[in-house]
Amino acid sequence: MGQHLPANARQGGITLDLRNTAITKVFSAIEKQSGYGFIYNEGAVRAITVDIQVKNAPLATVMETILNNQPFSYYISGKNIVITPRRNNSNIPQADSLIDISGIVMSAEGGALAGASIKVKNSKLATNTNSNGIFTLSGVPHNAILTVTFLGFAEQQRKVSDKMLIRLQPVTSELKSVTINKGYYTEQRQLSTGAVSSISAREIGKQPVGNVMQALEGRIPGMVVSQTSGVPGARLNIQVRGRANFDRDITSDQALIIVDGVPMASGNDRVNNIIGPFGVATGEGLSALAGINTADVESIDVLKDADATAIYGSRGANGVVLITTKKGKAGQMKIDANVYSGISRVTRMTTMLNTEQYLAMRNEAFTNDNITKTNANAADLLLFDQTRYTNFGKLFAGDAAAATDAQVNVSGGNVATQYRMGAGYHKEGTVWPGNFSSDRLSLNFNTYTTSANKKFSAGLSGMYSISKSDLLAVDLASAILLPPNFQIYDAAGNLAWNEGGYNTGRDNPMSQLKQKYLANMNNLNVNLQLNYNILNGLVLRSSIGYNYTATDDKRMTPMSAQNPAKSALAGFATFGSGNFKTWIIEPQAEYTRQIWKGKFTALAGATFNKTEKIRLTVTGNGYSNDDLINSLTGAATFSGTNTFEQYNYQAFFGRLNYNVANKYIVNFTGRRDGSSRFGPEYRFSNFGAIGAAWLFSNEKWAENISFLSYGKLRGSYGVTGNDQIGEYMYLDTWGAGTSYGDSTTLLPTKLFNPNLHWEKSKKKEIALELGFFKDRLMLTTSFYHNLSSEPLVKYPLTGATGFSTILSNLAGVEVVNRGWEITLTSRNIDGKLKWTTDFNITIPTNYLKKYPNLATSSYAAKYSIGRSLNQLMGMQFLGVDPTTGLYTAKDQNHDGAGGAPDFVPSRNTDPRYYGGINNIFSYKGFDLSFFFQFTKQLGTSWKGNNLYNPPGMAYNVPVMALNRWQKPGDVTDVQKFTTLSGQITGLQGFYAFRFSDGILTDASFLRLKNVNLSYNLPASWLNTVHVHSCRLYMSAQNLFVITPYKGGDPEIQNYTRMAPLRTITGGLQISL
Amino acid sequence: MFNNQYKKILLIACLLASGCTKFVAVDEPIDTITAEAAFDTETKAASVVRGLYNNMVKTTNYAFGAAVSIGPGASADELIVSSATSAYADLYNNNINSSNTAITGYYWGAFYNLIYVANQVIENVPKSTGISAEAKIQFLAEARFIRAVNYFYLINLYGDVPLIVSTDYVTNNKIPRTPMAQVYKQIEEDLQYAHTNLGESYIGTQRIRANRFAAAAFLARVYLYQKNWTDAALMATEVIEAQSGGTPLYHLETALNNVFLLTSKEVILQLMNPGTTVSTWDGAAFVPGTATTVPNYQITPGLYSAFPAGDLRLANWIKSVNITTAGVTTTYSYPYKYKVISGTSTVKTEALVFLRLAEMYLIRAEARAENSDLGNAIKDLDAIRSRAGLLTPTDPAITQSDLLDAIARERRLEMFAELGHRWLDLKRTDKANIILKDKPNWTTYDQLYPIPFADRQANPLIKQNDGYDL
Repeated sequence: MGQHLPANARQGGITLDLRNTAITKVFSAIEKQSGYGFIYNEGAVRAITVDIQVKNAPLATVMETILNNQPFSYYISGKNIVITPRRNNSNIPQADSLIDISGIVMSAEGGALAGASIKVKNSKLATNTNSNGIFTLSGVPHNAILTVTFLGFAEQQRKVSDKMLIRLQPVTSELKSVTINKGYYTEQRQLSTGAVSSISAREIGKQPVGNVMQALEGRIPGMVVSQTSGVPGARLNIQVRGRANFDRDITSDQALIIVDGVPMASGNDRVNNIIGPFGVATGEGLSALAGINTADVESIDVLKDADATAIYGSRGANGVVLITTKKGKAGQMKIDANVYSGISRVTRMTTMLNTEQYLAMRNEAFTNDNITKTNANAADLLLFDQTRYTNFGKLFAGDAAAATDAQVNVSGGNVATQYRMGAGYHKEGTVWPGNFSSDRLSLNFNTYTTSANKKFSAGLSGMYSISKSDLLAVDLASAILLPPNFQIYDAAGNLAWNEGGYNTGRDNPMSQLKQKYLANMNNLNVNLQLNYNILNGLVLRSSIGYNYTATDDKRMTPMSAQNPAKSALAGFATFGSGNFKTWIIEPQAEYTRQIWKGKFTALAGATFNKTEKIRLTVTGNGYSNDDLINSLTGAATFSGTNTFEQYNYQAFFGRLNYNVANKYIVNFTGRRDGSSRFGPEYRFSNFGAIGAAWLFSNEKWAENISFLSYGKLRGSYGVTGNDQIGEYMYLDTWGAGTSYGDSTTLLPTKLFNPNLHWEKSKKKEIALELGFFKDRLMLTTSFYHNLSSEPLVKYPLTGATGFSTILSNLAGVEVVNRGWEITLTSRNIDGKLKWTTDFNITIPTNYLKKYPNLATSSYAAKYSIGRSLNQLMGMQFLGVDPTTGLYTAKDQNHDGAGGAPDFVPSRNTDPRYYGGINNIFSYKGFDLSFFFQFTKQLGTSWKGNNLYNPPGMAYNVPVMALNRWQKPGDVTDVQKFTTLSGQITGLQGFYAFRFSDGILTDASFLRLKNVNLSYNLPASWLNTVHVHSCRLYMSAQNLFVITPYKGGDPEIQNYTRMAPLRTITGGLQISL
Repeated sequence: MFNNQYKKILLIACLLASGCTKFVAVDEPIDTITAEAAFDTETKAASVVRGLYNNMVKTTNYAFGAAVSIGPGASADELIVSSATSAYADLYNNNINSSNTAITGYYWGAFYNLIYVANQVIENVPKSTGISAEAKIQFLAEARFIRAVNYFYLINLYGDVPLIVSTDYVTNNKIPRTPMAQVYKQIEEDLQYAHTNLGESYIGTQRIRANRFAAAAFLARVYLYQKNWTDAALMATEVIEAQSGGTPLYHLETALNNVFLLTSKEVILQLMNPGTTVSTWDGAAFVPGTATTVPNYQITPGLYSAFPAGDLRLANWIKSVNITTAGVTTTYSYPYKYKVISGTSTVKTEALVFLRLAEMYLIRAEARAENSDLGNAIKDLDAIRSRAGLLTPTDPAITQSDLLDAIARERRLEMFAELGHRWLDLKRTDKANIILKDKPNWTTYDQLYPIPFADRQANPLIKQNDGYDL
């Protein structure tokens, strides 16, 4: 065989003088002189020694000489000389002749696939590819068929040849082959033993959202993401698998958030330093997550069960959210630009009474009450213009908010080095009158490089963003309660105050436009990954990361924004600055080897993590000049606070994974944790979990079930912890009091408990994952059961001890979160027209399982055994009394009075079930998707939104209030108009309603959350202009909602707050 | 060789393990310090002691931040509470349940919090190495004075209360009620320590920290309450005759409107309000914000009419306003001892008068009358009466019991709306049942406030006072 030297073979000969030398050494010598490489089966040729003496001989001669009388021949392939077994002289292969083969298995994109399985059909011969994707097999029948399989790729059958290049195509079923990120390691979904849900850039990119977490709403089973306000930049609540924290005031129920391996320094806490328009309650504020450029996110993985979260130790009890940014891909340089813009408007604006209806209501209320009208109680009737009408809803939140987003990215690289870099700009307006907005400018970079021998690799990823909020100090939506004849401007067009010369105490809301809130936020996240393949199977890794959020904000109240009738009128302003930083170093070692029939992986590592939070606020009072309100110099007096908090966390973690033939998989994870949040005696603790999976579809018997293409049963059990109690809680702290005389004072701030330790969470999960009809239908059903114990609470003490509570782990208390999560993915039509449906639903249950002596604890009026922590404790609502026309509640203890003694456990506001359904159609270049989000839940009715004022007071009400009781015998659900709230402990009247379960109403909804239509211009058009791809798209968020809820949005459940906006955008994405 | 390797691994493991405990240690917060640090220097310990006084008036509706003047005043026959939803209204109506915020937070929780801090001082000061011996005694004496004062009010409002003299909350959460006599014993011991160890002069330029005479004055009151007439008179005399550089340290201010000023020479101890805006919480609570606002706490008609003609206290310490509502004009009177609500000026002119000389004259008058020293008792009584413009001397032939009644009447008029004197006097002289019987819902049990519900939940060993369910 084999005189195939190409014509352009190297000129000049080869000179060798070797005796009794191993043939491999001879090959090396030839490699050096000829420039050709050798490919051979080392095992087959190892024993051969040759003698050769040539001088300036052609390569062909040299090869003939060497292989003479050896059972091998050669041929040249490119720059390689391939040594193959010599065939029989006849040149006609015989059926039983055996050959040695070698080859390489690659992905369609060109990456070597390590660990692919090669089997010879109808034979026991089999092997796997090595780390470079190469395999060899000896003694293979020359006409045999090879079956090549690799997870995530379509199986390929190939007739053997001695040298093979096999390219595998990725399978279309993303669901089971997709790589999921579990933080310290990644694995293929079908080999995973834990519960992880993910969302990819594809779904994120369809949604024109400012905060990347918004893209998760309704899409992740077991996860509730809810907006606290429609104001841009506002924080979202992120809760994974229910509420486990017992005491909301002390511990957080928010998931741990990690961006590219670095925990966010501020987590999901508010980062504004002073009160802004985002709201003032716990859990409301500006979020650092708003600083992440949505377009830079490649995927978000949500870790839920013990198997996935235990490796996060004391931080993982509330679930873990991993945000991974986009990386470059090998290939030609690609320039990607994406621009969209659109507008947003408030959805479901509540219709309020007009002036005529409003005044009629007020007069009716006074008649009902038989009360004389005075300037104090009826300024709107006696002093205000009786014909003026302003639609305040429309005035304050009726504007269209413009949104603009532009991204440009460059990516590319070769097999050794890849990069991606780019910039993004996002701007959102507001629906308020006036020119307010939030914007974000972001830069990102990602590089990844490997050494020539592929032993060493390094990756650096980073994001930097500058966000600016130029907003009002107060969300104007609440001004909707003003009487509709309230005067905004006087005849001269100036802001009006105190119509009729009487100060009602209610400020002109338009004055808010002069009260600005300005915030700047800078976010930096960088992470360096180092990898070193030290030996075959042993990899050393280190991740070094830094996350930094800096905010400065100010809020100004000039004199012009205040009622001129105010005594000692002066401006005031508050200035804040905050710094949140964390660095993390995580050295790791991973070892993989084949043991018995399976693949064994061991991972060991350590975490060193330091977090610092610094805040400073200064308030200047007594500004006599509005022009100086931006500066501290204009203030007459100052006051201020500053705080410093440090959190150190350190741990050793490990993982052992054993996978037998992709059928039986066990996974142990464990962590020994140290957290500075506890006293020195309790800083360290152990956490761990075991997960197991059985891929029964890979069993022999399952191969006969034709419709079943994939089947896995998995389960996990483990313990995680919650240390989210804030810093220094275990310390005996004394703080500065106000001065006494003119000297300082010191006071103890609390009793201290050095014995604080983690809240524990025991998590169990069992799940069945099935694929039918070649994975066209994928179904995952999982059941989880999380038991949280030893919650941190303010344990009540007798005040005789000096304080009435002590922060303490409450032994014996157990909270259960359990539920079902079902996801279904179906490729309904899979031809030229493709139609895919994704569906997920979660049916959660939350209840308090145990609480010794609950009845005598300070939680007795809040919780009850067997019921949700989110239950309502209140009186039993009996409706509107047809005789008196007042709301009525049941007198449980028959004492003739209402209030707390009559409270009984009532229904809860937990969702009964929630989820989403997504339909995607694609035809030629068109893609259409629409995503519905649904929730079945109870919420606060519109009647309970104005907490202190019954309909009839000087507050406007939704038109539903017209359905009020008017005369004895009327049966209705709104009480008579009145200006009297009644006794706070009354059994009748507005308080009887407010403190009863009557405030709950059905707030279920089905929302068309997202519609996206896009068109990819045909490649044939684009090639001529050298454009890689071009996509035009339109997207709509919150298009409509179907709900029985009346008055406002069923998610916000308050018509005095800004509802989620309906956003419609159009955009263009182009790749060069 | 293998052995060596294992040794190395072991060594590295040890290093890592020792390093990690250090790694998770954190820098301390900047806005708080530990108890140990709070007492490690004299300067800081002095801050803690000042904090004790400051905390007594740290906010309104808290301990001596108006709460002790209003609540017991409403329980007695001094004040009417305008707002039906105020916690004080239940006190006025004798309709107190054990979760009433006044009896839980304003008094019980507040007094015990102050006692806790005093106990911190008493425990930590002796252990400190950074405080001089004299300062240690000074701090201990002041802390014990404050502890005694708070226990005095506790037992006079609640009866028997747990006697807590340490900071160990685990033990303290299990202490039942201690008989009043035993608590009084502790009060006397504390005050005697303070009396022995405090200096005669005040620290600083104002009279806002206890001196020897403040301890004597409070001891005089404690002895009076225990009917120890001789010692009560002795202690009152010590204060009345106190000298400083050859001149009397205290004298009755001739002008009534000077009595409650920071410059008042009648003051034995004042508590300075924290912050810059409010002068005294009493003033802020009693004086209405505007001329058209109905006062929150009004003088009862009984008290108003008890002032005899010519009594200057009526004109100087009580103010009346006419307010028209729906065409009907009503006259309201309110306490006007403190006149400043809030000032724009940062210089304060008033502070809460905690102990003043007039009380000493009244204590001595009563003690002397009880000891049948009627002549001297009349002198003391007339000192107070004449200052109030009542210049007719008391009839020297007055009987002992009439004199005691006259002294009690004078106490009512002199000390009204001041730190609960009237309520405590009615109870200690067993007159509450007679004088208050016409108050709404009055029963004899109303003389004691109920023990807070939550406290009995947290420590079931604390039993409830008679007449209260929960």
